[in-house]
Amino acid sequence: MKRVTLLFLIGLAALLVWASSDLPDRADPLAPANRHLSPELTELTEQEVEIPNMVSAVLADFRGYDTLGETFVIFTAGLAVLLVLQRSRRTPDDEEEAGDA
Amino acid sequence: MIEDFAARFPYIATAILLVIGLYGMMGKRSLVKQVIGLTIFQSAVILFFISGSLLEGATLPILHGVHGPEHADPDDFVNPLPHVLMLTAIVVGVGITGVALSFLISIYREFGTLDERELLDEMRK
Amino acid sequence: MHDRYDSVILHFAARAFMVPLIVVFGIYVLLHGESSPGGGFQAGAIVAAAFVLARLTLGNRHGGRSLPMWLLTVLACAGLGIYMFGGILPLLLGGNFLDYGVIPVEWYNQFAGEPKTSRAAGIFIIEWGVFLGVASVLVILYDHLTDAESDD
Repeated sequence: MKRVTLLFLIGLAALLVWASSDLPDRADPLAPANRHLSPELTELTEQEVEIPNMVSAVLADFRGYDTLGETFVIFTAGLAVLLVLQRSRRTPDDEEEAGDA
Repeated sequence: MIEDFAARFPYIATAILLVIGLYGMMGKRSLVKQVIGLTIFQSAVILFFISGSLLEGATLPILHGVHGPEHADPDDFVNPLPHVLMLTAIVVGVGITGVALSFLISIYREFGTLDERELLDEMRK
Repeated sequence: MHDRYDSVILHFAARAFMVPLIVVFGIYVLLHGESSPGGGFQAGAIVAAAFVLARLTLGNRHGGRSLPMWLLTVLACAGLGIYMFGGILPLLLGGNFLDYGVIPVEWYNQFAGEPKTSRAAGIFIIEWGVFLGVASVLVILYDHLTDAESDD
């Protein structure tokens, strides 16, 4: 079983390395990611948002809904941990510990 | 040969990290090690995105002199979008790890073990 | 992990030096999020690291006294509330949800050294919301995961 897993994983690594030969080189100025969206984001940040930090501009302005969703995810994660651990703490044998949660 | 490697090493490192993370998730029996594998897998994805944002001769995506007369040249800055996506992905990853660990604590309290096979046996009873 | 670690040097370094310095650095990263690398997520992680350091050195009971669980929960909710406020404020002023272009900043620019645009003001509100949410949730995660361990 373990041998099958290892063989599968080595094959997967070889497949990934082989498939990456179709991707653009590292830091290639002609890569599609650098040709299409990046210049527009620079221009919009400079002309419309007018703050120096492009990451903040994209994070809070262009992708404001996305960040709102991320904040909800973080909040829900905290809430889930709180509820899961407080519920499983209330087993009968440590009832007295439940009070000072 | 060495230039080829220099242009490709983010992809090779991503592939290796992905496989290590998958090995942690598939080949290990302890649930804690599986969570660690998940974290390694996630860092591989983060590395892949960040290496995709690189640009030859570019610097941080911080404009200088926004109100100045000179126009910012897009070729001087790396792509900010992957940085934004990974910034949120890292924090969400911490949330995922926290929820996973809380489930593990809850499982341990219920069954007294975190071994996958022992858990399956326990649940079949 | 949950007990006080008995070392005078560690206590002094953590309480008098490291924790205040890290909190101040976190606030700096937050306030300069618009003009330099930084922002709400990063500042939240840094400030949460300071409080986790206090809990690591002083123990959960003593280190957690300054930031009890009810306050953390309130702060996490407040972070989300501030974010929603930053989204709804433009709605009330006649714009779209999360469209900061309509926030009035003239009253602020009258007595500010550096003028601020409305979009920068909107981003500033959002960063505060993200900061409060991330920092308090990270400390909540640490508190609950380590406290749960001490029961067994």
